[in-house]
Amino acid sequence: MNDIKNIKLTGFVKAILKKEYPLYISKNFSSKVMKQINKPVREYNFFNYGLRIASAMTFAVITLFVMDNVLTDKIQYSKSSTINQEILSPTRNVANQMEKCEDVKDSIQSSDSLQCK
Amino acid sequence: MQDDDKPVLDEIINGNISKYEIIINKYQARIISLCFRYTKSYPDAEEVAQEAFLKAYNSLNKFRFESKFYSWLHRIAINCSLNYINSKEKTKEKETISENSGLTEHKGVASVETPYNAYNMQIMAEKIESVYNSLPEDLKLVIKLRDIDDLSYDEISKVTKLPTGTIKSKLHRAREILTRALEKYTEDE
Repeated sequence: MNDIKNIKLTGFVKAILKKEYPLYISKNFSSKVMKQINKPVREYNFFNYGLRIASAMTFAVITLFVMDNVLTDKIQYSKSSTINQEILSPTRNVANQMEKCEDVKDSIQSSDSLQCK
Repeated sequence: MQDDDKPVLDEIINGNISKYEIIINKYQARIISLCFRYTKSYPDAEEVAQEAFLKAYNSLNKFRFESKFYSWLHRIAINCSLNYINSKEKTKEKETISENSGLTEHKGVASVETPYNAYNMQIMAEKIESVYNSLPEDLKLVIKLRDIDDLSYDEISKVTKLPTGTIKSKLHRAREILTRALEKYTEDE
């Protein structure tokens, strides 16, 4: 009987005698724990840190590109009149700005008023 | 305080990681049993026990040998179990759990089917109990004082009025008889 097995059985005997035993134990319990212990720890050096930032930025750029090109409808504006023409692309109602303008000569222009052309 | 595990632990601290398997094999049954009292589920108990062994390993440098290693591991396992309960929001169960609630819980779940690739501890316990009861009285006494009552060799010597060497020899013989009785249950390894 090898040492590890002997230690395991002695442990079982002691647990049973002390009445501190579970109903069952996985046969590979100790190897599972040892596997966790021997698992290599990932080191974060400058290269890994830079790689993480670069991948995050790439993901952000791709996401923005997709959002800009795929998720929004393209609206085409026409210079000529579209009355009596078949409209093929999505449309939006646009009103010309017809707000009252102010002559700069007459008075001091306020920041929110339009200047006459 | 004399700790039987000190030589092994010193080796682990000095970089011989593989020796930790000795510690796991020695205490796995008792630690899983302890975690089961909190989790009430064997797969979860094993998971929590695994976490406890990992935490103990990672904190081994902080262990000052002021207490027995098992006492320290026991405390870590309790903390891990309590964290498990808190994470599962089982606070009501926590109030009813006592550290000394013990083995009577096994009676109610004795019919649970043993999963594939697991040791059936109930069958092993029945075998050990019958072998223990058939041991000569002197061996039975030494095993009881050392493994059940956790007395030191000096304390056993005072109780039995036997020299320490004789006690160690009797203990070795008794343990050999008991472990041999379990061999056939672990033959498939």
